[in-house]
Amino acid sequence: MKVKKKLHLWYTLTATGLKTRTIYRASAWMASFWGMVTFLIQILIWRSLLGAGARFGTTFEEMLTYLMLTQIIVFLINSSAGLQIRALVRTGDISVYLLRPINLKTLLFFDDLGKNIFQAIVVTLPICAVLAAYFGVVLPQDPLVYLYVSIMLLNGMAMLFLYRYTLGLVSFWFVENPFIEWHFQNIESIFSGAVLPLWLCPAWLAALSQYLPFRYFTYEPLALFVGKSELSVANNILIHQYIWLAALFALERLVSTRAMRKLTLQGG
Amino acid sequence: MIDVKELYKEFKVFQRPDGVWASVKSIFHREYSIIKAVNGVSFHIDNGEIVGYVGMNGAGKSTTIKMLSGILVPSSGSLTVNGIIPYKNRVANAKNIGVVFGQRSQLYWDLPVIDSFMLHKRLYDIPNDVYAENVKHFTDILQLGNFIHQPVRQLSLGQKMRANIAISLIHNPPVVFLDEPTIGLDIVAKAAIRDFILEINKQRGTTFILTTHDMNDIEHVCQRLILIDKGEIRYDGSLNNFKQSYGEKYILTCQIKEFKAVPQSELFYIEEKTDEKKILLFGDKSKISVSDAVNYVMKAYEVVDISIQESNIESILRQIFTQ
Repeated sequence: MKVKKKLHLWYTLTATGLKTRTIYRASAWMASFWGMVTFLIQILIWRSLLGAGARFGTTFEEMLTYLMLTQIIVFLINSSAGLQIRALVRTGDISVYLLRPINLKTLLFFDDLGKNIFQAIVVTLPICAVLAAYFGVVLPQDPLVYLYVSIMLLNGMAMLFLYRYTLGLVSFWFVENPFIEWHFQNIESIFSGAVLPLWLCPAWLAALSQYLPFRYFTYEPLALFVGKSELSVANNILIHQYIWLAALFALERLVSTRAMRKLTLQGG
Repeated sequence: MIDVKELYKEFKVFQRPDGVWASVKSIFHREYSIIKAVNGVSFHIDNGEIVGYVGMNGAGKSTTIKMLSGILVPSSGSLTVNGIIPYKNRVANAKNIGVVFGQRSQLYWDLPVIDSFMLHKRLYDIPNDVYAENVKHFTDILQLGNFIHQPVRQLSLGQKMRANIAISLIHNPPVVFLDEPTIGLDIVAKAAIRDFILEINKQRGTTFILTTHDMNDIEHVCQRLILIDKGEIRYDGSLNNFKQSYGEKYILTCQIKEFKAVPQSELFYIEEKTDEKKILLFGDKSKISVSDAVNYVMKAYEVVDISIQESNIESILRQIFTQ
């Protein structure tokens, strides 16, 4: 019964997030439109670079599959928790959020999830399907790959949320400096392979990324999906994900308690 | 029910310096000053009371409410609400209280009012029958019917406030904090809110703590008054006692032709409003009768118009705070 109620609450929170995203239809469509234009330009650049056949050890179809999935997943595991917290602190509306009998993290997580489901599934996925049908993509044959990729992506989503949420909490100390978060997001997008797949990056950068959590967000699952890494290393990657997940969780707890203490000392 | 003992709250405030060089220096070394927002406040509130918590801007009213809501941690002192220490148990406390911050909205800006209600149903785990009954009841007495399906951003201030008050009570909390619930509202909307508070208090025995700058709110709704000034309690007791113990006061408002230097007297207090060409005389019948005061003013100034306002809470408070 308790579980059912929890699920019901999570569903309502997600639905509320999704609904708020659907209100501004024009802006949702415009954002998708420009997102797709940029995406299309990226595709065309890669097509002219790679042409027909493989170069840099990559075929155009592999590249396209990677880019497309990155696009969908980035939307799906996007988190505006950081931005939201900053805005709430600045306007003082954080006090209204703290009046609710629920912890802030749960509230923001499901709100994000609702918004992401709308953006990724209602907007981005159909457009990608059309593009995929036109250009062609590679799909793995082994069902085990799908299983591993799904698990890894779920882990990746949790990691990204924790990372962004923790970063957002840091805004309690730097209310007047939005750039802190911006720098961290740039680091994230480079080392997570969202700009350029890591297999195409310089060796030193790829080596450095081994010591950071970012590649485990989306890069590793997608590399496995398009055949850039083998199933034999999949378990190893999962272990890395869980270690990082634990580390991020610990960091989030640490920052969270301090931020809440600071907030409740200063006043919402 | 609510127990507050020797409650203190201090804020460390960064002193922003003037001038470019000083502000560069402040990156390395900052000067802070300590503000005592709440300075040793104690009170006890029983079930079913309606208490007016009154004071000037910055007196420490909202800070107290925030501590009672679990949003702020006190610097020292103890407080419990329904036996729960709010700042140690924010979520458990939140289930037992309803809060309205008149300056903020708890409703989802982009969504219809009813969607926010629905979300609160899940958040507070309200049984279906209780939820249905409350929505119907509140819709009737607060007249939410014609806008409950409209997005919040399209509502007027009064409609938003009524919806906020309804949502703060939708989970039947035993204690409700209303922080300036009538701010910026017209007379009709204010009256509707006052009646609503009285009705809920009568029906359910809900305890209300009301902060407001509108003394009519206090006079219509509250039985008890707590007066706070610079973080300290100046008065705590029944409304009637308050009126009596502060004497029978009145205010003369006089429109005058021109100002003259008139010495203040120990018998009354005169406030000059130069831009409006008005003087306000705060008097006390035990010291000087209304007719004597009128005579005095007529002699001292060239009076164009005069009106007499008998004592009410507002005039008493004005006198306390301005002297």
